[in-house]
Amino acid sequence: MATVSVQVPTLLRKLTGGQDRVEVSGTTVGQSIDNLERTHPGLKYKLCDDTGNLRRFINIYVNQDDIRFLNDLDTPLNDGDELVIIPAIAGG
Amino acid sequence: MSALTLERLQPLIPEMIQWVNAGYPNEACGMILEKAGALSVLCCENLQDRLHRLDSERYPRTAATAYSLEPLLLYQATQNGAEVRAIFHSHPERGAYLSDEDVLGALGGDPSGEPLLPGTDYIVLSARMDGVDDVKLFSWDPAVRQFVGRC
Repeated sequence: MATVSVQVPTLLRKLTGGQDRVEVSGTTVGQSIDNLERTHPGLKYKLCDDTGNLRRFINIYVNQDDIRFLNDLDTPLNDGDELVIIPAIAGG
Repeated sequence: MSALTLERLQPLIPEMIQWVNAGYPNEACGMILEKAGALSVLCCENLQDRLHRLDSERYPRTAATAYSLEPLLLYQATQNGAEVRAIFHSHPERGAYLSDEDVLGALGGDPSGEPLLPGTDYIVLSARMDGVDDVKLFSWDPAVRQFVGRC
């Protein structure tokens, strides 16, 4: 089980008690989100839809790599990894 | 911070236009940053075609009709102390307006939600084969809960 830090965007900080950075354990990105939900209820709903997939307008990076181009929520984590949650900037 | 107006943006418009023209006939995108009172343009990659190739079901549109700005650039800009004053993107052959998809994106996918980037404006450039023919600026008006065009 890896311990990683999570950089939380401003719009989600009310769910982390105002903290912009929290620590969580998890072997994958998905598991870390589940564990974040235990300590910060409501966070998973903001990040994932009812099917458990990442919401369309949320992006997660692991050490500056977009998980969409890795293994999505199954992207494995290592001790000391940094997760960054960034809103999607999209339209058309 | 003083309000963003098309007048304040005038010196930056040529650079935005150059980026938009280079991206035509696809949508181009970028950010207007402010640091220490100075505005600057950050031209950004449109990831839409990469996302479409990755998962065409989740991302049915191509860069011809959609943009997805590399999010890491937004993060890095703010980590470097800049404010993201505006997001700009182009509409090839469609006119300078904020589409339903643009508004949905600005509201983080929730039509009844709040702007994903509070305080950030949106600029749309109308791109044609022979160049950009219109530029419009939109800001969130909390009183009417809509993005409204500004001069």
